Amino acid sequence: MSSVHRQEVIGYDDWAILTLPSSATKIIQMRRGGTISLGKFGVFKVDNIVGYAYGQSFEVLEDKEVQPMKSISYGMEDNSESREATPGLDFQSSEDNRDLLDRGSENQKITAEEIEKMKKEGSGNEVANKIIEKIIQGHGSFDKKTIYSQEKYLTRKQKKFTRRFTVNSLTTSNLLNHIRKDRDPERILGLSEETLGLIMSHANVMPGGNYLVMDETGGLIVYSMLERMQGNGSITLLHENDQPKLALFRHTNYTEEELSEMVKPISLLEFIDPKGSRSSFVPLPEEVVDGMSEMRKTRYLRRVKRVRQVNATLDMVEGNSFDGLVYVSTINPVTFVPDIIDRLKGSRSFSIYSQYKEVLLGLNHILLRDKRVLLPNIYESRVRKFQTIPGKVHPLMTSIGGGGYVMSGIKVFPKEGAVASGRRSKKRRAEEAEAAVKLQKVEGEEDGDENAKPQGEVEEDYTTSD
Amino acid sequence: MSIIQYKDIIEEGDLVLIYINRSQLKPITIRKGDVLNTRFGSFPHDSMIGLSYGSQILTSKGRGFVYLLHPTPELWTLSLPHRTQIVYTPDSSYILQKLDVVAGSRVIEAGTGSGSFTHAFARNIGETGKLFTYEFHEARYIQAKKEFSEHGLDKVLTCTHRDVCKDGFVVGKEQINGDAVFLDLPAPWEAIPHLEKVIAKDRRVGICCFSPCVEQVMKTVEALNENGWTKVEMTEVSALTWESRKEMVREVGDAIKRLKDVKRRQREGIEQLKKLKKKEEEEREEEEEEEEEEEEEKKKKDGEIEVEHASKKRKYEKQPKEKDRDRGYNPFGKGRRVAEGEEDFEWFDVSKNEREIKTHTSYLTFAVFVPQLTPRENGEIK
Ligand SMILES: C[S@@+](CC[C@H](N)C(=O)[O-])C[C@H]1O[C@@H](n2cnc3c(N)ncnc32)[C@H](O)[C@@H]1O
Repeated sequence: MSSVHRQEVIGYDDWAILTLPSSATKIIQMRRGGTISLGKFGVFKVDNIVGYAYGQSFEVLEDKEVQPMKSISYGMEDNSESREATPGLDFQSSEDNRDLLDRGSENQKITAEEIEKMKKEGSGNEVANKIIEKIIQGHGSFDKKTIYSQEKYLTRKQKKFTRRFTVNSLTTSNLLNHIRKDRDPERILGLSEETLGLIMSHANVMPGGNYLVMDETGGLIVYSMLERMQGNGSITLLHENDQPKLALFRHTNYTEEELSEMVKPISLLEFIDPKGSRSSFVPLPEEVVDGMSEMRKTRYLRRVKRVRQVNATLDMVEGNSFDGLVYVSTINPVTFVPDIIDRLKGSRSFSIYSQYKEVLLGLNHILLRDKRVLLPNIYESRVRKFQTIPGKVHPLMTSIGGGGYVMSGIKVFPKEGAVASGRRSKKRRAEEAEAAVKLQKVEGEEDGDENAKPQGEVEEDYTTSD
Repeated sequence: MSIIQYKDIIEEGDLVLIYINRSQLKPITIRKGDVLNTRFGSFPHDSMIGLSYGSQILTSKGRGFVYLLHPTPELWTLSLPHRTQIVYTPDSSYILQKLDVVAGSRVIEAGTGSGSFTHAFARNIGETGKLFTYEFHEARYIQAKKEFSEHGLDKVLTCTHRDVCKDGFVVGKEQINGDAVFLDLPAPWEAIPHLEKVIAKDRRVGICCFSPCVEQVMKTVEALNENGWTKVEMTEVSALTWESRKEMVREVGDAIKRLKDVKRRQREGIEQLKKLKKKEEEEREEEEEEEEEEEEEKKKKDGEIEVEHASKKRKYEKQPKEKDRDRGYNPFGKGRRVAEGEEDFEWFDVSKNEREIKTHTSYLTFAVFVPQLTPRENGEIK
């Protein structure tokens, strides 16, 4: 299948993500014969990394060569491999830090200029080890630190100077974290990895499904769905411009053709008025087409194909035949989602994303009263990372804020007259809907008892104070 | 049918999740002649055959109704019979995302437990993928295997009765070549050394170990390091569900205005009020007498519940309608039933958590195994 993209081994022309010891990331393409510069972390030849498995780490050597490493932190972090792997470092430590002077950089005898000079002495990682060694020797009170804080100090310096990198495949998670950490999280509306996971699971995204999608993240949502579906199923992509904005795809391994095979664009206007958007195009008779010049014929056939595609997409819309909705857009869902619901098949799920809970609250109020929707719920998920050094386990001190919220629900077909027994006023129904919020939609019982008080209403008795 | 492939129309033999209410989802298999009985009435299976998934059906008397839902892994997680602790959607969705479990993935899972996560794995990998799941508790294994068959998952998974800590993961001659591993058992560190034989050797493999205690995590981290896994990372997912509510916008100016109004009315109407109270009292006495009489009468005919019901109704009718009673300046609708969001008032859109929230499920320990390939011989790419 053409749009199957599971990167296993580093290959020429692949787009991938590099991670540095500082955990900074960078998107690269592996051009045959090319070199990749890591700025102050050195340069290496693409040819030297092709053929290794994605996830492989390397150390930069002299002359743009690399040395494969078991992991990027091999010999660095005390909770992974052994500390002895860092050569040439042997030092005293203290029981506690009572003798340590809190003077920060004043303890350091090596100047920034000296470090810069040393960096230029070579292009391989050897230099990094030398610098770290010098820094430790130059540290006036390194031996006054406890072993723990020495190791912490060392790890910090290693992360800063070590000339290593990992080549990771361009999975959605890696791409998302790259944008969120090293680019602008606003480009993907503040979406976090855990929230993306929620969106995908709650919309029941799976191979073979036909989904309706709003994607204002430059294509990350489409990318994620394509990754999950691996060439099986379709995405009907709603857009508010001449064509969908999929800027992220420029630096990925998908070709235009692969994209157009799976992704069917449709503008909001076409979606709202599918009948009126049908092309009045009438195919020419075969003889006429046969008589065309090659160039005209190609152009003509392309046009026919496009018209067919648009009509097929409009058929999907008019047939209410979508298996789910994934809505990641700043167009207020309150103004649009109620119109989309009818386009879903029965018992299909949807996920609506917003960076702000407040946006989803408005929609939630509306869908709680909408008989076509079951279980309209707002979810929030936040992941906390921990340090796992034995004896020193604790959550990390900081992390990236935000991450967004997801509202999901299930489309159903309410039966006419199943709810209203006729006697009820509009007002009464509205009240009931409100009560349902608090009753968490306990349904099934319609006993028509006008006295039954919806639970949880604002009811205060102030008669005595009057 | 298959839980991991949508269909539109309900047929005999299909699995349907009956949505009774928000906290009651009941899985049934459609059999001609069977009847589903609920508190709200009976629903013959025959009446469901031929309907679209998502349909609402009524009892014959039209008093109760249920919805007929298509099962999904997420709904199954909410409705499955618990035999163990299970993994819920906030954790499973993150793990699926982080381990890149997609169409075609090959997944190793132990223990199967109640099969909650198994369904989500199966959905993600589809028919081009393969899932190997292990359970050493025989009864659970048998039950899980039966459910997987009923849910049409036989094509995508192999369920094995096995103590993976003792006997590892190898099954028959099948090449497992796992590229994602999930361990939800008490001692993952005992299972980790057995993984080498069954994980893929030509690509990166991800693992997640799911343990509630820090002590377990530390042993797991050690085992991962010892067995060649790298990029070890421990995380925890905290998840919340939010309810949308409305809170009335109450301004202090209005409250003061009302106080002034109350004071004025007190001054003017103390006498009148007294009269009114007296009248009310008389009315109540009268009403109680009436009720007693009525009750006697009714008891002879009906059951007690009916009587209670009738008397309640009466009482309500006799009382002056809350809304009609003059309360003077009443900006917040005090003393009457105000429905949340009522048009006459101004409201904030606000949100609230459930009454009880899950604050800890388990720690998630992730790691990767990157096979050290040797693509080059004598400086040439093979
Ligand atoms: C918490 S449950 C798993 C729940 C499952 N993840 C779910 O979502 O339903 C753990 C299961 O692992 C099984 N188990 C424990 N040790 C095992 C072992 N060594 N080999 C196989 N299964 C084991 C237990 O019997 C239990 O059913």
